[in-house]
Amino acid sequence: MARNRNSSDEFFRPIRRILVGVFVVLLLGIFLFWRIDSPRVERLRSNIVDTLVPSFDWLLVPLATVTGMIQDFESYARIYQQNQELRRDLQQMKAWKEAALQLEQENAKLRDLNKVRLDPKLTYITGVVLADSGSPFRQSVLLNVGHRDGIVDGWPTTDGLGLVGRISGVGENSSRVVLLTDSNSRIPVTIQPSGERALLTGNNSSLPRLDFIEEPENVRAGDRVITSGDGGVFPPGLLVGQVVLANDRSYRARLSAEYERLEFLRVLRSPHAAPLKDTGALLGPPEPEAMIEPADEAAND
Amino acid sequence: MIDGLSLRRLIHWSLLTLFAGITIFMRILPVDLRPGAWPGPDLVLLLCFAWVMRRPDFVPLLLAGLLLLTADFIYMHPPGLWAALGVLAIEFLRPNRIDESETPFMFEWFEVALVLGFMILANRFILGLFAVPQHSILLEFIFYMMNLASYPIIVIMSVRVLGVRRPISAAELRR
Repeated sequence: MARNRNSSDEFFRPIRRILVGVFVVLLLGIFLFWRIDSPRVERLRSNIVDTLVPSFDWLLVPLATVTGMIQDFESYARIYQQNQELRRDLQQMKAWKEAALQLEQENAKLRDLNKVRLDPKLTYITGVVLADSGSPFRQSVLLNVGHRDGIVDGWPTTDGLGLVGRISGVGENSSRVVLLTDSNSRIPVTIQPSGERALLTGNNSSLPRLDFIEEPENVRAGDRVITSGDGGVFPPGLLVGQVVLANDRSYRARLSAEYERLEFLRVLRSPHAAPLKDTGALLGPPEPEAMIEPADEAAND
Repeated sequence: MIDGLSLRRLIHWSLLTLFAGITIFMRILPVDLRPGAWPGPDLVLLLCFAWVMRRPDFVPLLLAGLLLLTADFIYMHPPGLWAALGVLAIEFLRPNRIDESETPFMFEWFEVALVLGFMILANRFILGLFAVPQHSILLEFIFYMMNLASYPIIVIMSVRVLGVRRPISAAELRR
């Protein structure tokens, strides 16, 4: 199909160049703005994602289930064996459930006896995982609960088995959880039974590092890792995982949470989290107000 | 009013938006949340490249820029940088004259490889300049290879399935 646009092309090209330049400058301006005032642009990002993604949750959740089923297709060949294994596991779990119920009753009786009250603030809000971050470099998930359900930035998130991450970015109907495996994630933890303090540092692998252990001889593979509550970041006592020794002789944590199969997450209402209000202004020295008053009193005498 | 040409343009603009929506949707499906996956190709950008060299009117600049910016926001990348580089690349690849004869695919592939390489290097440079933490260069290299490998598939799909072909110039018609 022939078209003769040569003449109009010549006329529009300089104008087009200017428009391209303006558009590129605008986009780079957004990037600069993000670098300068990150919380505001991240709030904009939360709002954009909040508008676009949750409206498709009627499609996201079933499609994720179907894709998961297709991915497990290899195991369909031994479906009968799997069925038998699952039945056996179920029997064992029923026995454990009975034991857990009895322990819970005993625990309640003992607490009642000692007049100990549990922290009522550690209730939780359950959310469904809507979406991934879409990038292999950022480990985060999107939940379908947001401001209107009372979610606040900084609250910890678990999946019932172990700590999963932290809320960072809340929209009206959705919120983003930064997982422990993300390279920006730093959680202060305690290693039981030795009580050693460490920092759980995500490094984009499935085994985050345990840094700044004071006495590495006290730590052994298989020890439990729980949150320490240091610095008011997270409430203490949440299970994170187990210590493993990696090939490069560094201590890592194998996370208890099931990262292959995150569907329902619990967001714990933690009073410890401090909300991010401003852009992080420079902290200056305190003003010397106290020196003015004695001078006044001296003048009034 | 809406003649055949404008209708085709509108249809292809909607196709571009739909394709971008589907690609973003499929990438954010929460199927396996373990880290360590290899980066997939940026299909929206490759589609824009494939279309802009054949039918530049099917890739309006504003639409492409907005789609890339939305993808930046949803994928948790630094917003605006990859979109700006993408817009510059699309404008660079946009042909100025329409009677360019059909160049062999190898040259086109090579040109896209060069442009994509410059985009990735500029991305790393600017992020380094502004002290934004970055990923390892190996992952960027894998991303580059995946993009180059997927480009022929995108071109075949565009040319055969969607009919986005270079318009025949008057000179070729006369031949």
